[in-house]
Formats: sequence, structure tokens, C-alpha cells
Amino acid sequence: MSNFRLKKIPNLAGVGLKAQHYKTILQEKPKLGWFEVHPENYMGAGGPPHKYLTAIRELYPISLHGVGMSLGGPSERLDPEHLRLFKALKDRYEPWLISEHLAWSTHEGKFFNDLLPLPYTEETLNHLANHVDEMQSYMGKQVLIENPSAYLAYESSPYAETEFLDQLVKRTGCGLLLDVNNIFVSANNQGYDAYDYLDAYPVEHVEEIHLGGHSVELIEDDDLGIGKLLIDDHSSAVIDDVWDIYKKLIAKTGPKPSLIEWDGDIPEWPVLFNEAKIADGFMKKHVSTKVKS
Amino acid sequence: MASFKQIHKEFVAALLVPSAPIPKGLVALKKPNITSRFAVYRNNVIVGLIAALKSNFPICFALVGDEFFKALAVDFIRKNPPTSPMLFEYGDEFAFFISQYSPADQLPYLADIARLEIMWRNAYHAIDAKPLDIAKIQQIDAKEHSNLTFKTHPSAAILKSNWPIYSIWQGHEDNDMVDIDLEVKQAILICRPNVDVLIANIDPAACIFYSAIMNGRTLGNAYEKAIKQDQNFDFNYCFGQLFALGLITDIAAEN
Ligand SMILES: [Fe+2]
Repeated sequence: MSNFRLKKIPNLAGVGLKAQHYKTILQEKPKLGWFEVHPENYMGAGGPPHKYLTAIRELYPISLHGVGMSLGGPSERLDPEHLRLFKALKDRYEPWLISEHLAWSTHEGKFFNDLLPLPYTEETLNHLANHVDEMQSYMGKQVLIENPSAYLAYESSPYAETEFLDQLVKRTGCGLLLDVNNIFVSANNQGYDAYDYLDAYPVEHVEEIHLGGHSVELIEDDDLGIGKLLIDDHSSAVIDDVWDIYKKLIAKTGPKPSLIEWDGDIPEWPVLFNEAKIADGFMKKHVSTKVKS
Repeated sequence: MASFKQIHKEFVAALLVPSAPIPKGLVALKKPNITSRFAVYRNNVIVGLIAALKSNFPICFALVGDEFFKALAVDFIRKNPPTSPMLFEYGDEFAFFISQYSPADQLPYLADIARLEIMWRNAYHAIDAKPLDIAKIQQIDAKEHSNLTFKTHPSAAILKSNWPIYSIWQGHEDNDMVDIDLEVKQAILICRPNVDVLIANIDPAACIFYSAIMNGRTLGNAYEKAIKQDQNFDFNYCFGQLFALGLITDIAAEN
């Protein structure tokens, strides 16, 4: 059982917890709202990962952001062993939020370590809803579902992604994690307007926001000639176009727990911390303009 | 449209094999370059898994270099994709794979270095346990010592090799691989009593002694086995090492 009391994540910025930053965080105790943790990295029995996470959890609230549950996978039930290990971490560390992805990554016992796309059909919706129900009842807690970044989509998808997520909320009572960078990446890669997506998105269910960087590749598509393909690699700072969508989003939702995801080419702590302060700045500005008007 | 199960099956079939046909029904824009776009998924999967192996086998990586490691990793990944999302434990079959991998014939010690790195990782993530203070033994009447048996640390393990695995590991730590005599055979003892994983170079008699202790033999019996192997077995040193390395977590008297 847990040594921790449940600790609320404030409507402030947080960052993804990286082993490279453990010692700095414990020494400097930076003024930061919260940390997000990939549970898959803490599923070992003991050792330094748990030692550091315990020490950090004593100072900050956390969220558990799963990348391996494969909610969109084809099997009838979720992997029982993975559920058990996830729940053990939930019990041990008392996260304020738990989240997973609208995607799949496992097939017949093989793990592909990427968030793979799904067609948005009635069949998929039923399947997803069953898996989300199963995860929520096993965890005894609401799970937030995150929109994916995509390089391709399935042609026969009668549901728009935004509508699909809204249906999933209605059927399961899950919450939503809106990744603003993923909107920008998918919109570019599939030729739609990011702001149209945001207008259609059920923002009233957003409990957490993700911000991250992406990289740019050139691609030659048959109809448009050479264009940009955006790769969601979380290896750089958030760009201005993504901050603009973020500002528009918090104008609708008000301040929300907002996470900086930086998973590759991980920078020195001050660089990451500064990104979080930018998000906090936008949220503060939003509140003060609201008070004035 | 294909069923949910069929969609996954087709996608996976194309994911790890670049020459396989791309699944039907995928779109983006009006006339997209499906091949280049699908390549992003293929690339994400393979690059992510190569990075996981590189992080789990840093010494193997340093020994063979970037290009060789990539080729080795890609072959391994196609044959042994991970079976769990816990990528920190990916690569249990890597040592065996290397031992069968003919391009690595020039580096006959590479498979044992992979074994060492798997054991290092197991020790790092093993369940925590508090090592016993040697003072606890000193409180017991010396006449009883030879009858004592011990509980050993969950992270403790021994690896015997026909190659100088300790020297190679040490050379990697010190960034100095120059003077390693490949004719030397070494065995190591691994333990993580607290935060750091400790590795000790152990001679054949010490190896017998520690193995016996870990197998629940009495101290007296472990000593006898070791001295049989080597008349010059240094009992006092090895007994001290049991506690210096945090190998002992409790005393369990002989039944
Ligand atoms: Fe995200």
C-alpha cells in the first residue's frame, strides 16, 4: 500500500520525469506544479528507479502516463500482467491522474513500441470502449485518453477523431488528455486545419494538456509535390504555432495541468524547466485578462 | 472494410519487414505518398528498439561500434521483438543470439559481455533488501560459525566465462581497453546492496565458495569446497567480501 496521501495536480505546468534530472530535482526542488511518469519505466521490483521516484513523489504530485496498454489492440482483454503492474504503481504512488492513448502497440504478445493508428468505426469504438472500461474498473480510477499523432489514417473512418473521442467519453466516462502538438502534427500530415479540429473537439472533458516538439522531414506526395511531413519525436522545444493553439485552447478551458513532453535529445534541466514556465506564463496571462474584462 | 483483427494483422506484417506490402485502406491528403508515410511507422519501431538495445547493452555497443551494432540489432529485433512494454528488460535472448551470429565470430567474448549486461540490469532492478552488518556474525560464538547458513541478496549472481569479462567491463568503465589479455578466463560476482551495482573479479576457489554460500551450504562446507579447489584459498578475505559486497542479508542457522 501507499505511503502517500493523494495530492492534487494544480492547474499549472509540469514536465515528464527523466532519470537524467533526478539529482537536480532533489537538490534544487524547483518550483514546478507536478511531474508525469511513464509507468513502464518503473515496473521493476526495486532499485534506484523506485528510490528516486519515491523521493520525488514526496515533494510533488504525479501523473502516470502509460504507453504500453495498447487500448486499441485486437485482443479481447487487456494484458492482465501489464494491468497488474500498472495498478501496483497506482497503489504505491497515488497519482492524481492516469492516462493512456487512442492507439495500439501490441499484437499477439509482441510489443512494437510505437502508437499505431486505428480506423474510427463502430467496431473500433465498441472495442475501445470495452478496453477503457476494463482499465478504469481495474484501476478504480478514471483514465484520460490522448489523441494520437498520425502519418496516415484509415480511409473508411465514419467517425471524425473528435467525434470518436466524444463518443468514448459518453460510453465509458473516461476523461481526455489533449495533446496540442499532436493536433498540429496530424493536421499538417493529413491536410486539415488544426483550428477546425480544436473547434470540433469536446474541450469540456479535457483534464490534461500535452505540449511537445516535433521534427520536419521532406516528403514528395503525388498531388502536392514536395511537402513537409512532421514527425512527433518529442526531441525539441515547443514551436510558436503549437503555443498559439495552446493559447486558443486555454481560452476555452481555462488553466489546466499542462505537460512538457521531451523524450529524445533530453536537454539540461533549466531548458526543460523554462518550457514549463512559458506554459505557466500563458495560463497566468489568461487568468489576468479574464479578471480585467 | 477488413475486420478489426484483420487490420492489425496486415499492419504488423508490414511493420518489421521493409519489403512487405503496405496495408490497404490507408490515406492522407488526396494522393499521398503512402510508402514514405508508412516508412515513418517502420522507422519509429526499429529506431526505438535499436535505442532500447543500445541503452541495455552499452558495453556491447562500445565494443562493436555504431554500424555493426545497428546491423546486429536489426537482425535481432526482427527475430525477437519485445514481448513486454518494459523495454528496460528487452534483450534476454540477445546473448544467445550473438553466440549464433556469424559476423560476431571475431569477437568470441561478445556473448558473455551481453550476459554480463543482462545480469547487471537484473541486479539493478532486483527487489531491495538490506545487507547484514558483519558485527552480527561477530556476536555469535566462533565455534558456531562453520554451521551457519545465510540468506543472500536477491540481486546477487555469478557469471563464469572463458574470457576476461571482468577486465573488459573494467576497461569500459575506465575508458581503457588497451592491455587486455584475451587468454585469461574470469568469473564475476554481481550484487546491488544499495544504489550501486558492484562487480567483483573472483578466482576459481572464491567462485566455488560464493556459489556454495548462495546455494545455502554452511560456511564450513563452502570453505571445504573452496580449499579443495585451491590450497591457498584466502578465507578471511572472501569472508569479509561477503559483507563488503552486501551479499548476506540474514543468518539462517543450519537445520
Ligand atoms: Fe502526448
